[in-house]
Parts: sequence; structure tokens; C-alpha cells
Amino acid sequence: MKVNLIELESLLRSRKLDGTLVSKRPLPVERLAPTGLTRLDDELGGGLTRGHLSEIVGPSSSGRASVLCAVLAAATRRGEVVALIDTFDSFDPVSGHAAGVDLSRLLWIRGRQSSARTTPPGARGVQAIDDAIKASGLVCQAGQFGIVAIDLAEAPVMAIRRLPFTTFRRLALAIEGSETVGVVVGPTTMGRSALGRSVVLRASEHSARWSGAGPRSRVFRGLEIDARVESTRVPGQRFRLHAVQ
Amino acid sequence: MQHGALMALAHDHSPRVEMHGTGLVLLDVDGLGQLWGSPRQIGERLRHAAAERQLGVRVAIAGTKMAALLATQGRCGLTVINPGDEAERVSTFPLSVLKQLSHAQSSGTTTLVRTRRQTRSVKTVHAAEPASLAVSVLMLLPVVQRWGIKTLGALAELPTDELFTRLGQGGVELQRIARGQDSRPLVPEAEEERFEQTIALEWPVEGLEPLAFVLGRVLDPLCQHLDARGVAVGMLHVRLALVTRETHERSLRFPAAVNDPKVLRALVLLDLESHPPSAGIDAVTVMADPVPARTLQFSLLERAVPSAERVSTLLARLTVLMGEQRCGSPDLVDTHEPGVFEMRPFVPRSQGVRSVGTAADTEVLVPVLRRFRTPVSARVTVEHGQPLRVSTGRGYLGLQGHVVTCAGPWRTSGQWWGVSQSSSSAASWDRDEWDVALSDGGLYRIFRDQYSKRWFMEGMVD
Repeated sequence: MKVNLIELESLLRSRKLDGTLVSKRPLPVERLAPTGLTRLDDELGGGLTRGHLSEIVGPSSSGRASVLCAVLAAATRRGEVVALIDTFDSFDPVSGHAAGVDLSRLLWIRGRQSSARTTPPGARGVQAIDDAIKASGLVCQAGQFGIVAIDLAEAPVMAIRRLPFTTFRRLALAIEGSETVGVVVGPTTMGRSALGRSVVLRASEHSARWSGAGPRSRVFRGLEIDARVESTRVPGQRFRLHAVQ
Repeated sequence: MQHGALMALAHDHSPRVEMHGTGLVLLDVDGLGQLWGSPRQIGERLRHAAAERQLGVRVAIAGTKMAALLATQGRCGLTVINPGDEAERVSTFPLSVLKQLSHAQSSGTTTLVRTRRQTRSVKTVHAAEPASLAVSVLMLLPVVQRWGIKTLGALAELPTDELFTRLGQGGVELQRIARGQDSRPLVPEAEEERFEQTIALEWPVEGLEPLAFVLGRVLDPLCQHLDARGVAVGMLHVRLALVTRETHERSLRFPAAVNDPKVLRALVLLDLESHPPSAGIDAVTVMADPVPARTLQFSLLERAVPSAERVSTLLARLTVLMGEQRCGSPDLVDTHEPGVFEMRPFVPRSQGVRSVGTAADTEVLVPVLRRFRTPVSARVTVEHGQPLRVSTGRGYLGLQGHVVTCAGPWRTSGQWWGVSQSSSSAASWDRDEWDVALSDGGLYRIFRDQYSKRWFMEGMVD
């Protein structure tokens, strides 16, 4: 029975029909995109899976942008070109550069200067999210990007839940079989493909690291990120990442 | 004779053409023998082509430019001078031929001249000398005529050193002309070629979908023309003649040379989608600014990147969706002003240098600021000089919370030397920055603007 299962998996892989095939077998190195963070890569089994949609989720100040920039930086170090669909135009190029992102290899698609911070929460960002989803579809169709990241971190959870369930499925299909890693950043889990991973981050009052005793001598030193990797079959366990300024 | 027609005739038969006045043209027909046969056959072909265009011409083919030029002035019809016979064939021409030639070069006569290079060494001397006969040389003609010299042959036979003693360098130059020798090689003129296609429509076109077919009809031949010349489109100008007799013009600049009609059509349509014409279209004209075509050598060792054509199309589509200046690569600016950057066109490179970020090289995670592009106005309660409570309006998540930990203030200012300190300016800044951890778990950067005495939230560490 086990032999038959292996043969069946091999047959599906040979015909490139393994897009939804879930297996505990480690993926070949060329199908993985390391994040550049040893601890995270260990939990991911080597890196994010190429041709699949993964996600980085967590609340505010949980380290989502830091992990995303690490992923982008690792990709640009490998010589790949990357795309960031910045739904609410919140990417800081100075921080990105400090995190190691080669900005000349980054296609930065800035959302319209939305009124997200001045309009009532109900109407906030719906149009911006729609535009970002469309833009990510165009980038995925263009191909040859190492990472295509969609930053929905500031989007209200209600607005994300209103999206049709096929939205992220379409994105996953657009990159299926390609060398592209799709990454969605958001406040809550949205959708990933079969071999995609969810990097779930958690924030707490004590995640920030400071040095110095008094407020005038105190300096912000970094974040201690509480993370967990979720995938279809592999149970995730919590681990810590240290973001140091 | 029409100068343009003469030039067109010349360019149709040789890529190396040199103009002498408005009615005298030199062509380099060297190497055309395999195509059109003997020199005489080439000459006959040229005369036939000129007759078809209703041009009355004299044709001379010689091993040197000067012999060919003199032959057109001294003889009618077709003259073919074999290499080495130049001096002998022009020796019978009277000295007045030189004046005729000078007149033809300065004004214009009905003359067409061909030259055939005798040997490659002929064209290596005196390249800087003027193309036409020098006035100083022509001024020596009356002197020579007073000596009893009447033909070019008699002038050519005079002893050169004696001629130099009496007339100087001009005399030697005059004798070289009389022998039919060249003082400089043929310098072909670069043809200014226009890459333009126009189509006039029988019925006005309204809407982009029918316009796509029309664009295909003008862009296909345009790209073929460009391809034949080994160039591509660097900038494309589209001119639409509208039924209202107005003209709708758009210019598209591409980050890389493009020569694919389908890509060009898509880019033009996407641009017109953003900037549609105000009325129906009567005529479509496309003009291309040519740039050298791209030659790519792909490598198995380098990672593939999107092609320039694909990136151009993608950026055009994204621009339609997100707006102008919303897509590209960010570039840092050499300033301490917070949040300043530049947007540059996204041009992927196949292989680049490693990133200079030190943190990424050591695989250390760096906290990143999520910046509010327009700082959010905040209300901050301050006690003993420290922020105690932060809240914003209902816009940004209705954020409010007690400050758990804070660090600051970090004072930063700049460009204050350009304005008076009493008034705020977009170019100058003066602020006290704080890093604050709020009770909701968020970590923010807030600042107090010293000009307006107001608090703002700049971003969130995430």
C-alpha cells in the first residue's frame, strides 16, 4: 500500500499535477525560497515553497513587516526581482534598506493615497484592497518574480472577510507551477495553497526590547517576535525570533 | 531637378552617398558588381532608374571621385573610366571644366556622379580637406592659362617641383585635380530617416477596441521598418486627428528598447485608456524615436528576470490601475528628513551586486517601521515632559492607549536655514520624536512638531 502511494505521488509529480499534493516528504531545495532567518527556515523545512501562496499573519507590532522584509532581502540577495503590493502605502524604504532589501530589485506598487486613516472603519480600504488584489494578479501573470508580496496588514479584518473565498485561490493558481513565492501579509489568516505555510506571529506588551533605565536614556533596541509556522500536516510549535535594531 | 528625388535615387542604389551642392551626388558603387554586373551595366541601370523618375542625368563611373566629377562636367551621357586610366581620360578636358565643376558644387546642376574605388589606399589621404574645389586653387587658373596651358593633360604633365616653386601648395593641388586624383576619401552622409506611419480612416473610430485594429495596421509596418534598420523604439509618439479637427497627442517613453508591435499596441491602448481622446478619430499617426536595439545574451548561471517588454506592459497596466508615479523602485535620498525617497522606473537587472544592507548579510532580523505616509494627528497627554496617553481620531482605528514604555525625545530638524522659524514649511522640519509602547501592545513612533506645536503619529514598528 505504501509503495503504491509513493508511486502515485511520483506519477503526479512527473506530470506536474502535485499542486495540491500534501506529503511529509521534504521538497527539493530548488522548490524552496529560504527566508534568510535560520530559525524560521528550520521551522519552514528550508523556506517558503515556490509556486505556492504563503501568509504572514499577526496583529499590529507583531513583526509582520520585519519578517516580510527579511524574506524580500533574502530573495534580492539571491539575485531575484521581487514585487511588493503595498495596499495602504506604508512601506518605508529606509527601513527596507536597513533590513537588507536591494531596492533596485524591488517593484513597489503603492496603493492609492487612500483615505484609510480618515474615513470611518466600515468603508476603509475596500477599494484599496480590491486594487491590490487586481495588481497582484497582474504581477503574478507577468511571471519571473521571485517573491510577490501583498501587504494587507492594515486592512480591517471585516474587509478581508468580505472578500470572496476564491480571491486567494485565484492568486494561488496564478503562481502555481512557477518559481514565484506568493506571500500575503495580514491581520488574520486568509488563505494559502496546499504547500504554502502560515507564519503566525503574536504580539504582547513585553515584545519590545529597550535599553537604559530612565526615559531620557532609554533606547528602543528591537522586537522579540513570538512565531509559529502552520502547514497542512506539520503541526507547528512556537519559537522566538529576535529583531534587533 | 529635384534635390530630394536625386537623393532618393542615390540612396536606393548605395548606402554611401556624398552630396556636392544640390545637383551633384557621389555614390560609392564599390561591391555592387556582384549584384548588378559590370560598371557599365551599373551605369545603365542608374540612368534607367533616373529616367523612370524623369530625371535627366549624366553618369560617370571612375576609380577616383575627382575623375568621376570631372567626367560629368566634360562629357554627356554615361562615362566609364577604368581604374588607372583616370589621368589619361580627363587629360583632354579643357581647364574650363574646373570652373564648371566649382559652379556645380556651389549651386546646382543636373548632374549625377558615381565613383568606384580603385584601391583602398586611394581614400586614405587628406580626409580633413573640403569636399569642393578650394577657391584658392581656382584663383590659380588664370595664371596657368597665361602660361599657355589649355587642357588638364597639359597641366598634369608640368614638373611638380617647378609648379610648387612658382605656385606653392595650391599649384600642386591643382595638378592633382588635373590628374584626376583624390585628396580625401568619400565621406558618406548619414541619412536622416523618419520612422513614421499614418493611416487615414474612412469612418471615424470611437472607442479603444476598434482602435486596436487600426494601431496594429500602423505599428506592424513601423516595427518592420525599425527591425530592418536594426533599431527599436525608445519613445513612441501617437497623434490622433479627431473629428473636431483637434489633435490628441501622447508620447510614451519606454525604459528599454521595444520592437514588438503587440507590446507597443498594448502600451498605447493602456495609455489611451488613461488619457482617452475627446472625440472620434479620423487619422492615426505613430512616430518612433529610434534607439539601438537590445541584444541579450542569456546565461544559464543567472536567474531569469522579466523581460523589458513584459515589464513595460506590466507597469503600464499597473499605472492604469494605481495611478501615475505609484509603481517603480524606491531610491533613498541623501538627507536626514524623515520619510523622503524617490521613485525610479523599475528596470530589472539579470545579475546584480549583493545588497549593501549589513543586517541582512548577517541574517539578523531588523525591526521595520510601517510608515504613515501622511502623519496621523494625535492627542498626547504629557506629564513631567513624557507622553502618558496617546489617542487618535476615529480615522486610524480609533487608536488610544496608555504609554507603557517610552524613549525620547530625539530632536531632529533640518532645512531651517531656508525659512524663518516662526512659520512652518514643507521643506523644513523641527520635531521631537518618541518611541512609545502602548497598552494595546502596539509600538509606535510619535513626534511633536515644533512649528505647529502639535503631536503626530509617524508610524508603527512592525
